[in-house]
Amino acid sequence: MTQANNSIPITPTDGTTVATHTPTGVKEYQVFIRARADGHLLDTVGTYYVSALALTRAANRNHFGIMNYPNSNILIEVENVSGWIEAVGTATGVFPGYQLFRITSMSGGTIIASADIQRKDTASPDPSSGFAAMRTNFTVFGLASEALSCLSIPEEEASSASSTKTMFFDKRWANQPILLSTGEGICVRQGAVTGAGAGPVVSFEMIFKILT
Amino acid sequence: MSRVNSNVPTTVGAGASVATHLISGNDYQTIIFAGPDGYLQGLGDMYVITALAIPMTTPPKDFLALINQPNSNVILKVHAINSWSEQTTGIPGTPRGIRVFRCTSASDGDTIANSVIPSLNNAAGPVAPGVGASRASASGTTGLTITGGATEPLVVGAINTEEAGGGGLPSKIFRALGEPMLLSTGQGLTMRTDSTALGLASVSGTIWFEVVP
Repeated sequence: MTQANNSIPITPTDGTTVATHTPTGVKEYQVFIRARADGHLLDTVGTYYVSALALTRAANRNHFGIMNYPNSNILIEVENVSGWIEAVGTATGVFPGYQLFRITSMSGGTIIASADIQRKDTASPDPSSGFAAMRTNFTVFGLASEALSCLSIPEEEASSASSTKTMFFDKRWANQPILLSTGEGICVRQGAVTGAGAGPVVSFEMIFKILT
Repeated sequence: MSRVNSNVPTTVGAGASVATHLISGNDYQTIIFAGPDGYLQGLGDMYVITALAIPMTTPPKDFLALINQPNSNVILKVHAINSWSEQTTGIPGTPRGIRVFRCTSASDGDTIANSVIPSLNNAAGPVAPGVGASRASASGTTGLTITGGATEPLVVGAINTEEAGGGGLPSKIFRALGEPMLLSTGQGLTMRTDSTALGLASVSGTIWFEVVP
């Protein structure tokens, strides 16, 4: 939690001019650029996207996660985590719960190669070696006792709900993202219910930023 | 990503400068937004409490409560509240109401220890000692005992328990959209089901809140 800690008496003598804009017929307005609280100019931090598609459901299974490894020298901001069902057969619907947990490490799943991680701006660099994204039934360590977010995912094909993204987290809820410092990660974990039938498979996506 | 690349000197040799970004010879002053209390936006100490798959017996049932206890010396800002149902079998379900009431205290449930309440930023540390969170027992038939409950709800919504009718979709009970609910010392919130039993269904809820010194 941080408060502003300075005042700004300005002596404009460095030779440059202050950026202004003068709409036709009206007064001159100073033009500002917004910055984030950490000083990065707004909308200049690279945004990345990873997904885990059509996974087999199982009780208490870890499906999808990302890690900021120790000594990575990066900070990860998770902006959105969502999940949904992609059914390949009918199922008598239930809606099992899924949880988003903090973790400290993960292993045994399928790593998504850094070069394959999608980004909004292709000029954004590959995620560093201190970052990993993993999917498909892996082992986690340091699982928190309380979930960071939880929701259910509808499976009933007779309901349009089954094709709707279920949002576990969105930064707009709290006006800030989930922060993953070095040695911290998160994973989506299925609850104690497997779900109904063999038809539905479950998918997830995550949107995040990496700060160096 | 970019940070400011220029600056305007401040007065009288303080050594400090005003943050600007230089583009084509023009200095753009760069600003960071703060709330009306002076705290920078986007750096709050934000936490979340959860009640999962609470059986819908003995309605109305208070199933999740957040209390800012007297003398806590903090203010709580509630930014978002969700509710949904998790079911292990199909049931003839109907949409059921979820209400959020102001209250002053909650008891008879399972306390959520401040040390395990998750934060969006672990650097924020555990929730302040004067904040209390509790939820109805997942194995019990009765809910929380609420005192000082308001007559009228503060916000309401509904969840659907019918699997063929949209059941399982989360209900966005509350979104602050820039103006959170404020809980001063001695004030709290409780999530409560309506007066009709939900059969075999369960109810779940989360409250996202910020602790402000």
